[in-house]
Amino acid sequence: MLGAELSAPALDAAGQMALDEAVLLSAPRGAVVLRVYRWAGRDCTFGYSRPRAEALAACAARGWRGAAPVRRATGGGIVFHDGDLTFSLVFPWDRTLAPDAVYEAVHRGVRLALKARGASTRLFSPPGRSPGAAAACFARAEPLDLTAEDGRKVLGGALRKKDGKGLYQGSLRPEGLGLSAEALAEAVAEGAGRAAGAAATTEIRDEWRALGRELETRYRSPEWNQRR
Amino acid sequence: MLDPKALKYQTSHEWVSLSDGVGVVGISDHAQKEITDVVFVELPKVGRTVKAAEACCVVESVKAAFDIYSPLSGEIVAVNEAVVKDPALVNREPFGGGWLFKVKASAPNEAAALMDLKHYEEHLASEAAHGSH
Repeated sequence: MLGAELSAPALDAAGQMALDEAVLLSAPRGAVVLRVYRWAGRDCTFGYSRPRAEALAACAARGWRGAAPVRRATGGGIVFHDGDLTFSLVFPWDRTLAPDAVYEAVHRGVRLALKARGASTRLFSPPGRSPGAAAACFARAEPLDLTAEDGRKVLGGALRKKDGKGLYQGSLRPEGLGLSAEALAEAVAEGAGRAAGAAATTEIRDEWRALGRELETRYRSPEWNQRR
Repeated sequence: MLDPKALKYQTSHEWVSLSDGVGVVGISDHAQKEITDVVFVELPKVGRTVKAAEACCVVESVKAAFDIYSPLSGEIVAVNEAVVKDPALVNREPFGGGWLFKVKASAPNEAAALMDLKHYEEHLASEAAHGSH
């Protein structure tokens, strides 16, 4: 199932964000489209409304000199893509607005698929939600993230709702799960597909890729990345 | 605060109060509760021309960003800067201080195609009956 996408060209952050938006804009209503990213190198993305300066400071603190973090269309915090398994899901989102319902469905699905492969995680369910959100996605677990047995966050996501469709972008840290990259990708495909209530396709049409290449210009532009 | 019974709604959960050809637009109480804590609002530029059901604004909560659609065609004539400074106004006063923008309607009769509160509540019940997302 994942063969086609895993052999697709590797992209940087601007390319990944642009292709996700292209799929969101172009996928037929009712379709569920899963992408597992192939990264061209380490990279950093940050949420739609976050200040770029915050992402630059986080990159500098990590020793990533010269990094050019890219603003996502989805919300959420700063994510360092340096060995994570990053994936996206475009799905019908034409009923309730509640993002928690989406996170619970996707993360519960991935959790069950990981469990079937021998990796134990938990759906983080604290008694109350801490005010606000951490600047860095993996700095702390938020409700409905997946955590390891030791409490470390292993899966977080971000969402955008547009035209009756949703774009979920997820980042899964493999450390401590004891699974190969292929097994993790299979778990994500199985779990996310289950969550969407339909078999997810991983076929990315040529015209979607062409639109993605057009949209890359915006994701590389100062107007997009530096507007806050 | 505006009377929710006097407003018109669209399925994407925006409301509009139309008076003298100008519509005040916000999101419903149901929407703000579902979206949860709003942390950021990106408003349209004054002077922009929009079509009915065109995305022109973004509301972001703690973990999701949502496009907001104009219920009417026309020109954006005012925006509510107060929600930029204090996004939680959208949660606290969805029918009052949490309004988003004003649109000078180029086709005020478009409002006739929108739902009144009774039909909007029926729409919400229908959504709830059809499951999660």
